Amino acid sequence: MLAELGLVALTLALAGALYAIVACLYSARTGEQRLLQSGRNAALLTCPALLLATGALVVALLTEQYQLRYVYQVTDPGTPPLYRFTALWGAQRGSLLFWSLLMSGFICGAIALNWRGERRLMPVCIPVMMASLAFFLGLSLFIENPFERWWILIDAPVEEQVVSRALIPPRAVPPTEANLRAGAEGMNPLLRHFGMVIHPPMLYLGFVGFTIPFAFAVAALASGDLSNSWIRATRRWTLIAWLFLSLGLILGGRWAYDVLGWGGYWGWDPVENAAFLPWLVGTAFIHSVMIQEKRGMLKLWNMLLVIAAFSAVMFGTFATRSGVIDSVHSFARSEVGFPMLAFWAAMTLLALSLLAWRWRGGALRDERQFASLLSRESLFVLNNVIFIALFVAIFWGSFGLPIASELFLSKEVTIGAQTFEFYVVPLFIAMYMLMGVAPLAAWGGMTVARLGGMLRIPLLLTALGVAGLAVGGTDLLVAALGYGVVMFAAIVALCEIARGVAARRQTLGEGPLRALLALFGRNQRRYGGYMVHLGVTVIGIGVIGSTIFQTEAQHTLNRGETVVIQDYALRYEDFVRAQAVDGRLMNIASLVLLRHGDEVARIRPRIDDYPQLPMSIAGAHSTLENDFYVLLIRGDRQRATFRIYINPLVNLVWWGGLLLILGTAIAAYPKGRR
Amino acid sequence: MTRHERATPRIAARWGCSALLLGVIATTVILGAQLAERNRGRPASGPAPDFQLQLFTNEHIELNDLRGQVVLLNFWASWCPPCRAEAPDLQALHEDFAGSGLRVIGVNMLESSPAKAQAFVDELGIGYANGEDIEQRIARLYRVEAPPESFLVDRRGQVRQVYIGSITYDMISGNIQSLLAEAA
Repeated sequence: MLAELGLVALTLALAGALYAIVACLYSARTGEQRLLQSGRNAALLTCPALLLATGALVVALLTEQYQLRYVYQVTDPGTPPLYRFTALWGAQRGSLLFWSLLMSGFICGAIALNWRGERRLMPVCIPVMMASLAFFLGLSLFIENPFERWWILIDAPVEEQVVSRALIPPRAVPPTEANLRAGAEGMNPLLRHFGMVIHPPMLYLGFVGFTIPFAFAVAALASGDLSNSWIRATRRWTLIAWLFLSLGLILGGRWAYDVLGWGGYWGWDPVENAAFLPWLVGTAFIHSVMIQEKRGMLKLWNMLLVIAAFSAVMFGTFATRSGVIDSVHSFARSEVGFPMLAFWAAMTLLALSLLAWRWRGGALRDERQFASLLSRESLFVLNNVIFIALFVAIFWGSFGLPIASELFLSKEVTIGAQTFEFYVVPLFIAMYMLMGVAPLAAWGGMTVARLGGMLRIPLLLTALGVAGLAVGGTDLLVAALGYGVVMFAAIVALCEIARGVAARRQTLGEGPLRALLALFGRNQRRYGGYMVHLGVTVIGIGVIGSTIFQTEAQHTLNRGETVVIQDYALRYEDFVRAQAVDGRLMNIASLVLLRHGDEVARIRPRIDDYPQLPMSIAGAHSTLENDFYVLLIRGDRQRATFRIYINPLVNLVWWGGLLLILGTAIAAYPKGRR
Repeated sequence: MTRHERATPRIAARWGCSALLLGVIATTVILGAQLAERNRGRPASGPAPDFQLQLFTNEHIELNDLRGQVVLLNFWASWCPPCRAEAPDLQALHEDFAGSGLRVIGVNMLESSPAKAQAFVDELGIGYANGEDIEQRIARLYRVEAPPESFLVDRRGQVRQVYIGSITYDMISGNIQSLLAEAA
């Protein structure tokens, strides 16, 4: 019953999407408004239909309908309820459906909110969004159907008797309940973590969100309405997508840190990188779009960035789901590879051709020329150059080189984290420096002397800060320089906020807190932006601390024995085997952490026994100063081996992330109509 | 602004656009080829993909260096019962045919720790070459889905037979003998 309901709802959603494409495109030709409205309504219908389809799958997961192949694949009778729910995105079929639901939600939001303001763009905008949705719905219905069920064909030879089909085959019976329950495969152990509850949905929201700016851009290109109105509609949607993507990336880092057990949070894995690529393009766009709004410049470039962001999302989806590269994240080899590649290429080529066509028509001509090298717009262009350089380096390292080498040299060359860091770190340093200078530069141009004057105080404060670090015992030149560059960017952001507050206090006589709140409320984008900058600098400090100053050690301890690491002492107390609710056995070691002789924490690293993949879950004592992070390698009651990491300042990565998210939310928050 | 000044960036942009379009098409073709390569099944015939393997005894071997010998490539894991079942037969094949030019190579895959693999080798008294397939690179090269799987490679480095699941002495000794009888 649930499967039928899901199938019908899914088919309905696809039909709605296809109808919307035809109706809206037809209205674009004829100008028929009622047809456009009808198309819009069909597009809006996809969301409830997909809600119904996804709901059916969730209910099937929760109520253990193992006849559904997907339920059979990702859960078993021992799976706890929370993970039964998150199993929705635990494998390809379910996550594709969930992806479509999120995409349709975003699209409906965009249509509802922009219907009045951007009516002229809708006849093309809706079809582009619906085409993306219809593509994924088609994958769900025809290739990776989450509602396929197991059947036994009575007349078939024994080895071909068990099949999985969406529709009931003739002369078929369902397998017995007992067989289904016994065979159910259960969830990949790596996914049984709280991070997995929120990381994929956030990342998917970020990904699908870029469909909206893309659709508006294509609509603007197709309709020839290349005034700045598409930019207005797009900017906020880009910020929202960017917000979710950032959140997804940060949560992914947190999950890796907790679960993968190597003491780090970013491994330059191809799929991590695939999610980072649209983020880089999105960041470039968020900056360069300001130049178009303020100065009417870079129109072609901005178009290109919006197209590139969507293209990068589709490429990342293809790379993750097709099995074209190897990664911890890859879904199993699947039939969706070729259709996804074709879709990516078709959408990208279509948009680029439209862009080339409009460019020839002269519609994307800039209104001004670059007047001075020392202007905010020039520095923003430099910012774009850095982000695109990062994009190219990371793309080449994760996809270009490994694929080219495998294909043409029959050799597998993969790039390690160190190589990535070698190329990427200088670019990030340049980014932080620009982040310090660009907010101070004026539009149109300014003199060196004036910029120097504005930089004086931040530079002085930075010098003081670095000197303070040196006095405080940071003797590594690289680290001091790194901290210095990042601090400089942070100080500039803080100075700018302080300057705004001071100005309000002087002219309006407001109190400091009131002035601060008013500042953020009045100019959300600017001050939200500074807050994002602050967040990025806090992350930067965390990254520098936790990579340059990470301490790693491995020790085997007898029970009761203590090992001293820096000013900590770690005592191995106990070892127990316990059973979790889902039936897996856990080997838990218990240690006491002492600092200067006082007990500060009890740490319990553990190994969860899964038949093929024992999972090492770290125990950690977290403070703002550092994480004392312990992994159990192996052990028993008498002796155990531990790998120990001290990760200084690592928690700043998460706190900085929070600041970044908050700043983005402020910048993207819709202003009330006054 | 002269016409010339205006024209230069336009030409640059036009070239840029064409380059981008071509780039997307080229990328699509390359990715398609890669995907097709990835989606192909096990190499059931043709040249055996070359690889290097670091043995548990710390020596290195490279498949291409073994030209002239018949190679039986066996993918296994210590947690897999059929692998345990076939290991004595592989050892017997090694003992009987090593003299006439057979090399049995065990490729240990999907193992949680090298110690477990070593214990398996010691316990079953395995004397043929064995090493860990780090990051399952070789298994991917041969499209191995789950251990055990075995590949029989002739003296000229061509894959001649693929065995999915466990093998027995009697099942493959005939094939090995006929391959050994072939000229290099």
